Amino acid sequence: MSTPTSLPGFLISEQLPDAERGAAQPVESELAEYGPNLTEPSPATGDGIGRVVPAAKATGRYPYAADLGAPGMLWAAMIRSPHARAVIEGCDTSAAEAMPGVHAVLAGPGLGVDQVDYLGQCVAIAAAEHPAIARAALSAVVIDYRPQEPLTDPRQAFNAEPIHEDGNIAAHRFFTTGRDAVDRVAAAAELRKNAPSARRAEAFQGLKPGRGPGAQPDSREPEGGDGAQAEPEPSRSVSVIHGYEFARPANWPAGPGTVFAVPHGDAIEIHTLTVDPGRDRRALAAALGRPEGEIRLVPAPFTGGAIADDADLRVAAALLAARTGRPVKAVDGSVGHWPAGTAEPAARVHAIHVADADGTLREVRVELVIDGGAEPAAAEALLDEYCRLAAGPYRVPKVEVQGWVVRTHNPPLAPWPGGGAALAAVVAEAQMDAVAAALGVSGLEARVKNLMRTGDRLPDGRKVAAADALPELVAAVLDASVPPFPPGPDVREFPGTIGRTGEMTRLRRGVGVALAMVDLVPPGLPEELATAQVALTSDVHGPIAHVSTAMVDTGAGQHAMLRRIVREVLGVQRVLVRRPTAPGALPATPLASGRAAWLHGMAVQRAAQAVRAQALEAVGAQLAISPELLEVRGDRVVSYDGMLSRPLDEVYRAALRGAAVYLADGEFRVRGSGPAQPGVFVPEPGQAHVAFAAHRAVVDADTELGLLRPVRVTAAHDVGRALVPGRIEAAIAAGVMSAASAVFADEAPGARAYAGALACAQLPTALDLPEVDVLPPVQSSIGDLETTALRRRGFSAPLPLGYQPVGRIAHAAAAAALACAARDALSAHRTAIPIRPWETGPVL
Amino acid sequence: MSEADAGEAGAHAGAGSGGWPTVDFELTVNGAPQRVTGAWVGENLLFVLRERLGFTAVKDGCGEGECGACTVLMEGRPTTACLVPAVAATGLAIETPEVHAVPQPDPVAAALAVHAGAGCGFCLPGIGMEMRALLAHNGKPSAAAIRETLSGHRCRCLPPERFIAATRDAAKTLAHKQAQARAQADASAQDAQDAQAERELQAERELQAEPQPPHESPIYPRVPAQAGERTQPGGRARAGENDSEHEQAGARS
Ligand code: FES
Ligand code: FES
Repeated sequence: MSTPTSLPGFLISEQLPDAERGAAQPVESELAEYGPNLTEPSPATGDGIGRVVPAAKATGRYPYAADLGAPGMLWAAMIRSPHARAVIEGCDTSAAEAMPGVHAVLAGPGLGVDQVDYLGQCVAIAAAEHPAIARAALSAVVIDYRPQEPLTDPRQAFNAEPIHEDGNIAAHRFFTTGRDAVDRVAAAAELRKNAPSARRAEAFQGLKPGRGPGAQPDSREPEGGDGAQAEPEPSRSVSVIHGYEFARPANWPAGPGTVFAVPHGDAIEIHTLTVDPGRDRRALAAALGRPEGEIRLVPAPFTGGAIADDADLRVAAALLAARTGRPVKAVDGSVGHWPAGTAEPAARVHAIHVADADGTLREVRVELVIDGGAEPAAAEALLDEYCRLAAGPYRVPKVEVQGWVVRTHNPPLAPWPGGGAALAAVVAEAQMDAVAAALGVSGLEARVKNLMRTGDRLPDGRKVAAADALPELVAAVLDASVPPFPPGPDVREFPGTIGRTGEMTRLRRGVGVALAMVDLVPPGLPEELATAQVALTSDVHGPIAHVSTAMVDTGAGQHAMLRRIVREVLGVQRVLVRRPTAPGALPATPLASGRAAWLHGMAVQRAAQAVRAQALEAVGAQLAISPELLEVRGDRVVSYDGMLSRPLDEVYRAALRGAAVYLADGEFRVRGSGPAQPGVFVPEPGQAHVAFAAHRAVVDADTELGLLRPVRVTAAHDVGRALVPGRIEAAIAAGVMSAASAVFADEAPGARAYAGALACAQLPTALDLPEVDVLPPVQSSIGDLETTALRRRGFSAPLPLGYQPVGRIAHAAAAAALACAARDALSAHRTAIPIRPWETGPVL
Repeated sequence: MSEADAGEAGAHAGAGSGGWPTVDFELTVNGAPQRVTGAWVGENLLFVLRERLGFTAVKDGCGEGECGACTVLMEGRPTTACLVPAVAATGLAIETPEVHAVPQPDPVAAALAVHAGAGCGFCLPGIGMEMRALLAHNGKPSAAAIRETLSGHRCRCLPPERFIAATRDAAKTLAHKQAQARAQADASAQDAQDAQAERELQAERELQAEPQPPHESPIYPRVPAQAGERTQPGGRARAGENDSEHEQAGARS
């Protein structure tokens, strides 16, 4: 990590006062070629997760944590600090404790909080017999704050006094490619020591906007770029410079986070949203100062948009349960809304794209600062992912990207839906449209011309192992139908829908095509491991397989996917999947988001294959073939070449006679680098495995009233092998929904007067959420070992299965496409996400 | 709520252990009387249904009237239970998703399971109640009408067309069932030939799906059959009242 002693040169508001005004021309719409849409949206089904779970959900019997209860249960409440930075000089809980019905009150030092590090930090908790009593108790707690001047502007973090012993800069990344890359690394190291003005001059050197044909000079001039006159460029090129701002992410899950803690003697059982109980258990044990063995985490079904429960909530519930010896329920939202406060963007990105007059990209430079808030360590992965994907899936000879995560007194950054890939896609695609507009060509043309090809480099210098799917994906979204324009006649199909209805004469349609990519195995990835156990036996009803996995079923059908894998390998219809209750029964490391299906799926598949080899040993001997070379196809056991076969039920009847049990373990590992071994996926050194998606968004706008309505998002994904197509479609749809909320209306906690209230979030409703048109996924038959498709995508072995983080990449592509389409419809290069056209008035 | 109802099911006020004002009252949930004792006066209907009476299919998504997860039918009208003081609901017929789950999921729940089962499911019980109310007075709603009806429900997982498809599926099943039921009744009362003609006509009408007068609601007849209590099946909502309904719920921004 490097710590610049001077102000870095990204101060967007200073350097680009007119970033907004440098409006790009509208991207040429490709609409004319398409007729009206005659097809109905395809009927999607809950296919693939069985029948029981969907029915339980639809009738309200699915057991969310909020629906749990126990006799003698207490309700927790929490208050959050109204100050961003303060010392707690003392607090008095006696009045609160004296209230009837109140069982425990912990505040300030009693809770281990002597000092407030961010707005909204939890400073007091209480447990009472009724939620209203718990809230009343907390309002009787007196906390004596001594407020201090907070650091809330992340841009000031570089020069401000350190607010933490580790300094204000939590992470730094610098990548550069191109001929003079080595020099540039040295120069950058040098630059960080220089004075701000020199730094800035350097930043703009060689980036004076050219005078491309059809470009409007004043729309690209970086006013305030003080070193802009440096080195002359070849005359026929354009450069576009924009500063982008992203509001703090707020996920607004469908159900508020709920933690239910039940004490059992010394141990506490905690029901909470978690995809990784092992990791969260360790973290919670550390926070509570108790041995891990005393804590048992039970994963609860997720509610839409939720990523995990707030750690504060878990700690509060566990502490209060331990203190009172009674079950405690803590519900986010009712326990304490976030106070009003910062509207500081969580990420600022400054991007410069230089292209030749014929549209060929020559250079991309990106600088960004992410506000990690008071706990910035978690944002490092976000920064890392952004920097590695900063230029998008395009061929760029020269890339320079530099970014920082800084520490401030803002709330810790919530997990960003879509991660760094989403931020990178939104910026890269916006810049592609700006380049195209400056050159007077269509956005699509600019993209196709610069499309990444296999072997091209990412900003970190790794070569992309396979980019074959890209042209196919782009072609697929362009071939799909678009909704008819103009919409209507029903006013509810107009921008603004009911209440604030747009008018036909002011209606404009915008179209945005965006590509996104996700890095499957980043080079720094520490080893990730998943294990599973499969047993094959029989009972009175015939053969049955038992699967033991650490994978959590969040309600999205993960276990159904594992069932499908085992059914396919063993040809057994009855498969039971369960998680072992004893922690540590199946060793596993924490898995980063998006890799769980891949690792657990592979571990289960390998265990099932090992079991199959055991069970088929006898028949292998009969056929004089190694059991590893036998497969199950339909109702027969077949040799790999299809020459020999036996009926499956006969084989199993013989093999499972006398309730024989075949049992095998399977494991799968992924590592960012290191020696390749069997059972471990390690990319070739210097190679990057990247997943792609292309989305097209259609957005209608009433340009005078500033109303936007996303109409349709068309999604094309390369999903590897779709084991459970229904799950993949649902994951893509969920990604698009969260992207629509992020681009059009999500409001961060703490950004408004009644912050924390859903009423202020202005989420799109069913009236203005887009239709999602999921195109038949491009299915590379990656499940079969050593197929051409597999090698074409750069995988040698072992076979990847479910390796695509579909939801994340869908969020990234959809967010970028929706933002591009909104800019197109508004004919203005809006750079703040979420896009709120009405805040700046008419734009034409 | 009529005066007489209020008198019958009237609330009894008292004081709780901590000097909290408490009330005893009776609610009519899914046709059966439910006694509530010692509730804090400030409790909303959502809390009482979920925590005191155990109707957990009514979900608590936001507690502020925004998400629609807590939607129940009060006298046949979809209402966000989190915005209704529980005592104010005495004497009114309250219907929760539970009543449509037994013995089989009703056509609406079944259609939701098929089309929206892949989502997290948190919003589905509330959306189901809204759909039942919609289908009670509009047998063949347009896509835009369905979107408008559901705009007070925040589904974070699935795009609206899934719910449009589910509503249409449910509408078809309901129309079919109703046509069958009528045909049976008619056949017993009339000459066989007349019945046949009538059945065809009726089936035709159902498929055309003209809006139904409220008392012919395809949904509510099930309720008294199950619970045996309600005299006047709900379904007071009329198409024309839909907009003011939305204003009341206050959720549609
Ligand atoms: S809980 Fe009532 S509307 Fe959200
Ligand atoms: S299914 Fe998850 S919120 Fe609707």
